[in-house]
Parts: sequence; structure tokens; C-alpha cells
Amino acid sequence: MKHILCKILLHNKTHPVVAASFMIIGAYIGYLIWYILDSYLPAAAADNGYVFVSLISVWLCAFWGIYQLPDQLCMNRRIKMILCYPVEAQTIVSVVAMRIFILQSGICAAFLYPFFLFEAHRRREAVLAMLFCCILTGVMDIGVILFSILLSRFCAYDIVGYAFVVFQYGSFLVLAWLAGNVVFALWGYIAGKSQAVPKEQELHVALWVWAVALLGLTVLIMALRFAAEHWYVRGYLNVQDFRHREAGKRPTTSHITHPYFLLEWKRVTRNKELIFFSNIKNMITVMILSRLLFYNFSQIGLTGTYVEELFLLMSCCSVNTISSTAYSSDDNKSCYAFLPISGQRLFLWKTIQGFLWGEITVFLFWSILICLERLPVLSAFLLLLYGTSMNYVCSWLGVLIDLKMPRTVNSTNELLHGNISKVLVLITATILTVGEIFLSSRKWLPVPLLPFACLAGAGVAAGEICFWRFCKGVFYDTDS
Amino acid sequence: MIRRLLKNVLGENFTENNAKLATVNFGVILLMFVLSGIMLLFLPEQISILHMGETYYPIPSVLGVWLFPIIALIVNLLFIRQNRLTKMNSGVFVILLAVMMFSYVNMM
Repeated sequence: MKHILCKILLHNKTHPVVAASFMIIGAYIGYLIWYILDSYLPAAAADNGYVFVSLISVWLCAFWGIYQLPDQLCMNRRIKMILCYPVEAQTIVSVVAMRIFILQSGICAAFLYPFFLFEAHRRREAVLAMLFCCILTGVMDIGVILFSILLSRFCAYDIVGYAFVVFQYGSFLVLAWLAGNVVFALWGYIAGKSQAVPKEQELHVALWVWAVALLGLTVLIMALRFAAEHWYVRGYLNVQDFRHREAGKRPTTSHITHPYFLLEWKRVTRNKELIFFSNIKNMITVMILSRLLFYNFSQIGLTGTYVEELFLLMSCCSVNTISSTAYSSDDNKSCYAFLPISGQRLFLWKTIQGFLWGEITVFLFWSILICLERLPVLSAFLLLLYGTSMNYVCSWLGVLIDLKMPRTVNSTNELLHGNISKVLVLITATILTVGEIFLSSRKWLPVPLLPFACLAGAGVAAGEICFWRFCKGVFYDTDS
Repeated sequence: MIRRLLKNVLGENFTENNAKLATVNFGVILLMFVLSGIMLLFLPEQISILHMGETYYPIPSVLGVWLFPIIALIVNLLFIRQNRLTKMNSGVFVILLAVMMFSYVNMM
């Protein structure tokens, strides 16, 4: 019965080719990490490499658990279909939790199986590390489920959805934010402790750790059984009530002062995933992209003062998903053809919306820059001016390219992941910035790089505004 | 004009998921694995997978040679997950195959 229940609730069938691909990827990445740790870390640190790998695998499992467990247990609409059958709440919880735990165990196994190959004489420790990772993951999973059940049961039906958003994405952000520091700090602490503890006490400490872990697991399992039996179904229905409440609500008469702004605001905020995942994704992309661009272009001789900062801010501006998917992610676009909507004004508000969201990222990275580098006031101001002007340039360009790109009606995930327009904006912005750095580094200009980049950015932005003002016909969406 | 040009180049189903394209991508990736296995016979004992400035990070060829196919496999699974299989993305896999072969020939 559990197999059928699993099929109904999770509704996903993994193709054998995809499953095999995941296994190959896991096996390769696990081995590569162990090889790198073994080859490039000092001998003392490499001896405790397994602690580092265990922490990384548990951290990944925690990400997966926080992302999947509340969604599958409290927001899965298929559960409502089976509640009318004689199925116990505990069975539903255990089926979903086990399915996710199996995948997490796979992650732990992929990360820790090379321990057997690299440290053949420490097989006992390898087995214990793998088991400990699984237990720790199980403890975290049960904690997440318990907290989800408590939230769903004891939050009022009109705020329970927001409580879940805060819980899921708050935990996600905290995990991402603390990842580097906590993993390395824990690794250093555990490695230091393991060296400081004499051999005769090692068994004593290990027994205590295991006893605490197993005791914690047992207590949590008992608490979960109680919570599932008494609170789960009511909590689940409470969450569903939040989801369906909007359907029965009669809309009140309201006067819309800024229809173009409202249309755009609704497009962006309709998808809760966009705000969190898209921004996290953008930040990670900015950090990787700016370093990549800086290293590659400095190798071909494009160096100078503030080059790294310019690449960083340019990367912030060019990965703006909200502007580069302005038309392709807009569900309302089919209505625009027969409504008295000005294509030109709609274009302007799409650009402004993209600009405002992009400015948050620009301001965030600019603040980090001035805090870390303690730049002179004038340079800090010019960098902000450069970031702002480039942000407008990239937003405008992203919206224009998206307007002119071929598209289909069903493009639901573009707002989250971006599309080819984003790549084209990135290429254009890189060419512009590299051109500015090239002209400045060859001393062909009488002004330093930073003021020149600001002037160029502001000039291009002014050109775009003039183009928008005088070429009305370009901005009408003939594909909607 | 831009839209018409792109439609001609990329086709109408620009963002449509397509099982045939998934098969093509898996085929290209399989070819990458096979070619990597063959190239393993001709490559030096160690190859560099990463360099930061003047510092290189070599790893054994037996391990490093599978990096390109694995990256392609991850990208393909992400494309499938996001329903983003397009002719253009399949073209990217072919370009990746060409880049892989070029880098191996350079390392020989």
C-alpha cells in the first residue's frame, strides 16, 4: 500500500536513464572532492577531510529537506484526495519522509563512499561517518517536519501561508549565508578537538556523541508520532484553507491610480519563488561571474584601478531576470492586444520595475564593497552612479530584447531562471565595460576609468530614454 | 525583424520541451564519454582542470577526463527539469563536445 501511496502523493516517476545519470554524477563528484582534499590539503587537515565531507553532505541534505518536506507534507494537494480513505496520518508522513530520506541517504553515500577507497585502513570510521550523517539528516528532517506540523496547526488560517514562506526561505537563506563560515569553523573545531583528545578518551567521547544522537533521534521520533497523530490532518486542512481562501473572496471595488505599475507589480510578486530563489541565484551568479570575468580579462592585459569593482557591478546589472523576462513571463500579455494599453508606457514601466528590483542587488553589493574596501567618498559615489546607470541600461536592453524575441505562451519558469535575453544583455554589458576598460588602459582618454565609465553609462542610458521617447512604434508588442 | 530572424534560426518551439531533443542530448553526452575514454589513451598522465593565474591544479587524466561529460550531463538534467530543451541548447552540447576535443588535442 505504501508503494501506491507514494505514487499518488509524489506523482513523479524517475526514468532509469535519469536515475543512472544521477548515480554517475554523484559517484564522480564524491570521488573528485576526496581526491582534491587528499592531494591539495596539508597532511594534518587531509586526515580530517572526512569531517569536512560529512558536514558538506549534511548541509546539502538540510537544504533538500527544508525545500521539500514542508511542500510535500503541508501544501501537497494530492493528500486531500486520500484523506477520505482509511489511511492513517502517520502513514502519510512516513511515506513522504522516507522517500525524501532515501534521496538524502544517497547524497551522503555519494559523498562518503570514497572514504573506503582513500582510507582503506579506516573502514570502521567510514561506516560510522556514513551512519552518523544519515542519523543527523534524519534528526534534521524530523525537526523540519515537526516544526511544519506545529506551524500548520497553531498558526491562524489567514497567516499560515506567510509563516511557511518565512520558515522555508528564512532557513534557506540562513543556511546559504552561514554555509562557508559554519562548515569551516565546525571542521576546524572538530579536527582540533579530535587531536586534543587522548586516544584512551576517544572511545569515551565517541560513545557519548552516539548516545546523544540516538537519544535525540528516539525522542524526536516519539514526538513526531504524537504530532502526526493529533495535529497533522487539522494542520494540513488549515494550510489548504489558506490556499483556497482567495477563491471565495469577493473582490472589493478599488480605484487603480497606476495601472501599468500594478500590472508589473503583480507579474513579479505573483510567484513567491521568484523573489527568494531568483535573488539568491543572482547573487551567487554575480559572485562567480565577476571573478571569472576579472581573472580572464586581467590575463589579457585589461587591468587598472577599480576594474574588479566595475566587473562586479556590471555583473549585478546584467543578470536582472525581471527585466529580461518582462514579456515572456507575463501571463496578461494576451489581453494587451484588445485593451487600451499604450505599448510605449508599458515598456517604460517594465523597465522601471526591472530597474528598481535590480537596484536592490546593486545597492547590496555596493554597500559590501564600501564596507570591505573603505573606498574614498568620491569613488564610492561614482561606483554607485555607474551601478545605477548600468542598471538602467541593462534593464532597458533586457526588456527590449525580450519584446523582440520569439516566445511561446507556456513559459512558466522563465521568471525564475532567465532566458536567452539575459545572456544577450550580459554579452552586451560585458562588451561595453571591456571597451571602457580597454580605452582607459591604453591611455587614449584624458579621464580616469571610473568617471569615464560613469559618463559612458549615463550617456547610453540617456540615448535609450531618447530612443524610447521618439520611436514609439518599436515598443508595441505585435506577438501578443 | 529581429523576431523573424530568430524564428527562422531557432524555430517556433523556442521554449518547448521535446523528448527527441533530450535523446539527442543524451546521445551527444554518450559520445563525449566514449571520446573521452578513447582520448585517455593519448593524454599525459596528469591534466590541469583549473588554473588561477600562474597556479595550475593538475589531476590524473583517468579522473579529469570525465569532467566535461559530467558537466554536460548535469546541464542536460537541469534543462530537462526546467523544460528548456531547445535546438539551440542541443547546439551548445555539440559546441561543448568540440571544445572538449580541442582542449584534449591541446593537452596531447
